[in-house]
Amino acid sequence: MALLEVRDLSVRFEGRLATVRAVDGVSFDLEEGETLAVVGESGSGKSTLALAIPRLVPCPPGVVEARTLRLSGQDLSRMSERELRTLRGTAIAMVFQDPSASLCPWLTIGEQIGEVLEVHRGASPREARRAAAAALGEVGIAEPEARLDAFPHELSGGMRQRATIAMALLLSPRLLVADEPTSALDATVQAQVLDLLASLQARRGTAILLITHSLGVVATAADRALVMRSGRIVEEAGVRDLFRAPRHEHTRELLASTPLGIRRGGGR
Amino acid sequence: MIAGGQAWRHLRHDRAAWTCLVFLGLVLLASLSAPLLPLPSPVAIALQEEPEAPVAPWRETFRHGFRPDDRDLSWIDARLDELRQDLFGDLQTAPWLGTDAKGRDLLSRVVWGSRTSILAAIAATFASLVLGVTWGAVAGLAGGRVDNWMMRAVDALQSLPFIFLVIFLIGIVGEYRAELAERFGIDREVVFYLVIGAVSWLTMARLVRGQVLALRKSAFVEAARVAGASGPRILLVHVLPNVMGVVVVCLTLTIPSVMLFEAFLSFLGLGIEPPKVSWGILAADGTEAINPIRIAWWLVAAPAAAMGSVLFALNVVGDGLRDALDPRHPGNR
Repeated sequence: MALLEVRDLSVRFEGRLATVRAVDGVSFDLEEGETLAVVGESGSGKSTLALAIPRLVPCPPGVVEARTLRLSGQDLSRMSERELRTLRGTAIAMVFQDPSASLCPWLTIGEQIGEVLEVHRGASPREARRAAAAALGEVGIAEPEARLDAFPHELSGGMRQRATIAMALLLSPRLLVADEPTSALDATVQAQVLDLLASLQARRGTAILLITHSLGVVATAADRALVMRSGRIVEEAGVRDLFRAPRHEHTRELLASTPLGIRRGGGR
Repeated sequence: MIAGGQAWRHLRHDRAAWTCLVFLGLVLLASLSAPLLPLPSPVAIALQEEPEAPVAPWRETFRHGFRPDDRDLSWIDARLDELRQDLFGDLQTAPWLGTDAKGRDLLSRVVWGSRTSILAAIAATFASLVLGVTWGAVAGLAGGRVDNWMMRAVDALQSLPFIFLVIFLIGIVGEYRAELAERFGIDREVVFYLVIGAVSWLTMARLVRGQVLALRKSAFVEAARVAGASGPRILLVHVLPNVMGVVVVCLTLTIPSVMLFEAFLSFLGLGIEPPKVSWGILAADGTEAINPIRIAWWLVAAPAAAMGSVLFALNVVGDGLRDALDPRHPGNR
């Protein structure tokens, strides 16, 4: 049984004038320890897909329907908000695109990371602090103790994203949904963050659903990829096959639109 | 989050804000200890032809002739008054700010009058913080229909012509005065402060709601939800601290406006009743005293200066407080 089973997942937004089908009958499996990339152009529905899995699409106006939406056998689509809350942060975690926006500007790094522990484990501030320092060390931040009292704006972009990763992985979730985790970072930091994700994944066996628009990221970080367009999956393939022999026209278009280098020399 | 002690330290480094805070503290102290100060009675009338001009304190500091007046004082005030008589006897300050046409000492009236303004400010602050912030935050966070209804309630209250409402309420209270006072302990003053509270939270609710609406969509609130934080927790930990700046700014606008509202109502004769004093009554007296023959300028200048300096200080403190609470403010490290 796969870790994450998704069958016929649809998300639509019902407006007064029109209904938008952001995700339209998507099905896929994600195995433990695997990295599945979801690629697509802007508006293809990949971010909505990312939000639909931890059931975070705002309803209304959103409507989420799925024949199956199961995480290690638990049916996410039937869970109450309370049950979902206990799952979020412990079984599913998320990393967002822009760490300067996804960290609360008024809380110190230590307070934010520790919050997950306080919420789910009822940890005392002191325990939370110790755990947060350890987590920061694990994501490769030097002098973690000193960084605990820093506010987000006092760290660099790369450090901030490392901190959000530390926060997401603090309780060893089985699934990490990473929504464009490197898009807001500069090129060298992108590579470091992807390396970090890969090494943490190797150590803990976390499955990663990697949402990205960059085929470069797919080539370096993913095992398999889904290509999305207008809410549908148009191609599903191993990364090697995707770059060697793209089957769908849209995949070829995406490949043709990437900057030099990835198209021919890509893959792993 | 910037903790209280830290914010306090930041505020101490802000010289302007600190000075103004000390000034406000002194005003508050003077206001609370009014019966203890060697001031003349604010109500004792001395028959005379004209208001007496201010005397510089270094020319004439004290005069004899203090006699206790027959106002109803609260228990604490009465004790303070006794203490004052033991301490100073019949000594009282010379009219440093002059007297009005009835010979009442203006400095004493300004000090005693500050109590009304401060109470009005406290009522407004309390209503804004408790009712306004909660209302706005809940509406903003709930969104949809709840938000719609809550905000329509605010609109409805805001569209009421408050002057008429005040006249109406005070009319009712006047009618059933004895009964209300006996049964519920409600007198005109209580109604007056309630009305001030009722008008002052509306703007706060709107501003907070707007801010919360924007924050609700922000990535860090989303991130907190992914981390499994509950609604109340998100509100308290992630949303409200981010609203603090707006709240402080709004308060620094609200407090002056209720002080003016108090003055305005008292000016119209709807607020505090003589023999009680308020800055509004003083301003009203002052404008009455303006005449082309002889200008008793101090009657206008003293309450205006008192009000102006307090409002100015409040604004500077509010500004400093907002900066002190903001971790992104340069120099807060």
